[in-house]
Amino acid sequence: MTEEHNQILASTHELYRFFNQGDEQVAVLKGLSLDVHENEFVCVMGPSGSGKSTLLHVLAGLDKADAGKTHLSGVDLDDATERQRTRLRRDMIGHVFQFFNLLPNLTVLENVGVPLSIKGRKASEEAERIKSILARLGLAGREGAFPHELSGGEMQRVSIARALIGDQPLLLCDEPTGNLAQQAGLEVMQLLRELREQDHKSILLVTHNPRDATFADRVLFLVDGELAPDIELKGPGIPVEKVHEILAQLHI
Amino acid sequence: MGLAITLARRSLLQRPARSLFSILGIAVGIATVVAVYTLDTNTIEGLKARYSNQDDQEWKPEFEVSPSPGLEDPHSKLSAIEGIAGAAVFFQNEVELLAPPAAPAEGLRPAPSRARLLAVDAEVLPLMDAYNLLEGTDLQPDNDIPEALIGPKLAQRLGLQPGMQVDLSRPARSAPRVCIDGQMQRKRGAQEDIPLTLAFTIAGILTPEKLGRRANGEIVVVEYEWGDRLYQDARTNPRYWVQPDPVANLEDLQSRLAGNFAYDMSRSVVIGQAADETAYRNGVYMAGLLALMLGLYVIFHTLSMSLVERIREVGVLHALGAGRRQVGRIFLLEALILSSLGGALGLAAGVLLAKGLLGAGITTLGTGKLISGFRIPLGVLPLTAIGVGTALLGSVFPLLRARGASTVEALRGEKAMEDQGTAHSFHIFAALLIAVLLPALYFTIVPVIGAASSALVASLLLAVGVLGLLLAVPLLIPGVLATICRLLARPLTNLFPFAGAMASHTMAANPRRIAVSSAAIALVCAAFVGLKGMTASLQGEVGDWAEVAVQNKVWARNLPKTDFEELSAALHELPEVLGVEPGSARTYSPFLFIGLRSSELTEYGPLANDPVMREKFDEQHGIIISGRIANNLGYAVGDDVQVRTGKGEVIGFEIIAISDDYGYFPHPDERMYGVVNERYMKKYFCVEIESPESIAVRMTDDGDPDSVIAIIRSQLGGKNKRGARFITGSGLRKIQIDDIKHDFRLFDLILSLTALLAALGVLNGQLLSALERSKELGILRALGSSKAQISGMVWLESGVMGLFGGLLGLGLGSLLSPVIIRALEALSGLELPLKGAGVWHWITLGAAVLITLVAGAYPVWRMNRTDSVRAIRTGG
Repeated sequence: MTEEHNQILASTHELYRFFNQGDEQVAVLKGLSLDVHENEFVCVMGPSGSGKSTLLHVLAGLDKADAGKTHLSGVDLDDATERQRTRLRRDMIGHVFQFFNLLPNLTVLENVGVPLSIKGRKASEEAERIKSILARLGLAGREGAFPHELSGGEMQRVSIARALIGDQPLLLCDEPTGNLAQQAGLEVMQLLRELREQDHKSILLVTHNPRDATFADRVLFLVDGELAPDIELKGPGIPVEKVHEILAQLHI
Repeated sequence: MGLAITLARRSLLQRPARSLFSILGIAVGIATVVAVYTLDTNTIEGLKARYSNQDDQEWKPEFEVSPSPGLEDPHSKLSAIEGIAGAAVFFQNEVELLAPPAAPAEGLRPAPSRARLLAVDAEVLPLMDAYNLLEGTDLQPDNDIPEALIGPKLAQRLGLQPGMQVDLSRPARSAPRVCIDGQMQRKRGAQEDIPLTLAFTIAGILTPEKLGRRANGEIVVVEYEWGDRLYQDARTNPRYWVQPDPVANLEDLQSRLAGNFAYDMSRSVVIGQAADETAYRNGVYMAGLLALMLGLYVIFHTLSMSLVERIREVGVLHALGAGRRQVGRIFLLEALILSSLGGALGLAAGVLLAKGLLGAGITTLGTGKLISGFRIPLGVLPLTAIGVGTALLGSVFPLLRARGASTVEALRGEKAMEDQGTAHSFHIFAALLIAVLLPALYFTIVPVIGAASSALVASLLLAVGVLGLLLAVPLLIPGVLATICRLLARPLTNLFPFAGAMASHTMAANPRRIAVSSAAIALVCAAFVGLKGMTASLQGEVGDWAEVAVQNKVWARNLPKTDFEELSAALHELPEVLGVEPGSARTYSPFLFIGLRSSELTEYGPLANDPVMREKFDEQHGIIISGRIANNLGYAVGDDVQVRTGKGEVIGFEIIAISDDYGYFPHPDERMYGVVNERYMKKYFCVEIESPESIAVRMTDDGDPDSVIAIIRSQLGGKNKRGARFITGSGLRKIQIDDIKHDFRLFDLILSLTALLAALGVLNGQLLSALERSKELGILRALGSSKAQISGMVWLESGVMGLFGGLLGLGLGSLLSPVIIRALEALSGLELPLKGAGVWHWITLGAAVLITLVAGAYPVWRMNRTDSVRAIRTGG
């Protein structure tokens, strides 16, 4: 943690999450503990099925852990009501998904305005702000397009714009480049870093792409539902070779 | 709300086909019930208005009843009869009325005015809706002060107002006079008749309608007891106005009255109330309900599948911080828009359809009846609301499930709605809603016509049960149904390996959708087969009746004034002529009575070779009644029929035979009648047969109708200026059977609408399935499958669903047909032979397959338009 990192924004402590696979119960998270501070870019790396997305779902209050504690902005999510979790998610978290998850029937402008509408604000009155965010993300002139008219990179940038419009402090990014071409992925990661630097966003990124990890302040490794003990890379500007080296070391 | 509106609007506009077909589904269901209800209301009201106009709008009670002579305590006996809401004793006679002069002249008594006195039981009178008041108040029953209601003309002429007093008395009888020395003189000792005069307070003035029109408005209505006191020393002829219970079966009531009372029934009351008419009308209402249920059933599944398709959207909204209530609101708004648009369209289309049908002479009492005037009954609004409300309720359930769906699974793209528990509970909910709640609501607005007889209740329960069964089948054994479909598809798989294999795979993967679509098709097919079986049975009944009543007969009508004796003698010169029946000696009391000459009836029918019966017919008030009236009114040989004669006396006729051999005439077409000796018609009703306007000639089996017609024409000779018209028995039989076909066109139309709904269900299911599988289709296209192969896959699936649904429907319909026919028999009083749907089985099966193939056309078109690259890349 650098000196510019402040208080803990989100944390998990001894988190366990089980899923049923047929008759068997499989532990996806096994006592995972993690802190994300204000204005910190944390990357959690792991192979497919290691529990990365589950971790994000639990932190967002979309899923509940079977054991352990989860805190978001000082609120214990395990004790929070459904309504409280929804409000926290609305006010604290911006989501960026691997498959973008844009609403197919809405235009770019309308998709970005959805979080405002959910908060009860009139998206039409904030059209200029939405447009300026879109322009900043290189989407000027694409406001009226529907998702199916966009490229993968454009869709992901719309998704990021949607995560930014509500001014939530924490961005949860689930393999944001997983469905993008090399160059488009690079641009998205640069954008996320910029958001951390300029907008002071806290970012929790889960990915299995070593290149993405190089943009983070801190890189952790998730293996079989647990964070690899005592292995943590500090950034920014972590050499990608170093990431590869640790991945090899962990047989990931 | 802004987000909900935006999402709902976009969803509807971006998926125009789904929106359109969903709206159409709701609209067709609602349009059918609205049309049926509007059509029936206008049919009944239109025909009632026609009869009311014929009666010059003078008020008549529904039943006017006279007790048979010597009947003790008729009022108690009448009150004990089931199906009577109230009976008011009354009598009518003359009355003298003396109004107080404005400025009485000294010593001069003003001349009294004559008016019609109506003394009636004021306690029951309000039930009859017999009058309205221009001013003042009603008569108070059991009032110690005599009160009167005054007709408008009388009040105007004498300047009478409520609160004034008038003196009433019966007119004085003139004293008996004898002829003495060539001069009429008062009989010695005879006293002058001085009637009782009572002062009545005028309670109210009648409006110039209903009873206010009677005696040209010169009428005085008083409480029966006070009227009786005015006529205390004179003979009155008390009768009863009877108001039937609204739910009573009028034919049962007639039957119960007939033992001790003669009755006149207002013709406007019986419109649509005959047993066969109530059966037909209830059948039309049931068909309407069927369409509504099927429409909503289809829509439920469309909405449910649509939600499955959009479950990821629900997940995204949750992830973005939308509360469950917000998500609920979004989908509820969309369902509300769909149902409201469907409801409005259905309401408008239903009203227009009813108007069009009425214009084409199609009514709920058969075809060929022209109804003037058209009004939209208010009942269509709650009916529409039921449709819209049920569609909304149907969407709320999947909505609740969507709200509770796992966001994590939704975000992963998993179908959280497809789990077994959700599907089961949805089907149970839909079954309860459609098979229990919807019929219950429907029948509170559209009352069952006629008495809630056990047969009617049984047939309703049966119909609801079948629908419930149909809904339960996909719930209980979707896998079995899908497996059967796959087996049916197997032979085609050999012909079209790729399409067959893919269709088979899809059916296995979506058993519930396959089962629901097949069940909807089966329901329509079962209804068609049942209807066609019913039509065949009704035609069979007409055929059986025609064998007796119509075969070997020739009818002539529009005859000029001709001597019946001469005409009959000329006809009897032909050896094949067995008898000649005149059609003019007829009256309604209480049903159609026809007077025939017994000498013409000795060669055929029950009077042939039965001198004892002829003796009863000629001399002992014997009556032969038709089969339909015996069935409908429950008469048997030996029963008495009480008849009120033209003079108001009540005479009993004994039923000596039940037969259709005699007395049927096609103009007017009336199969409920009784035949009596012509001399009774002359004696009691003053109608004769010397010069009939119509006759029926009965021939032997080998008789030639043309010879009979030639004889009649030659007899009429130059007098035949009006143009006598003839019809033969075989011609009439054909017309009667064709009439049934025409009458059932309304059912054909309603069932065609239900077939359209079933097709919409298949279409929606296929379309949603195609959209859901766009990625799979893109991959298939990328792997080299042709458009024809993709099309073949969908059409094969559709065709198999149609074939299976058709076969299931045929089986169900064939099993139900006898039950429906027996229920109809019990309802209508007709003796119906059991007939199957015959060739309609094959037509129905073919139509089921064809409809599903047509329904598959649009999804095929959509699938072939899918951009393979985009589908692979985005899954959409």
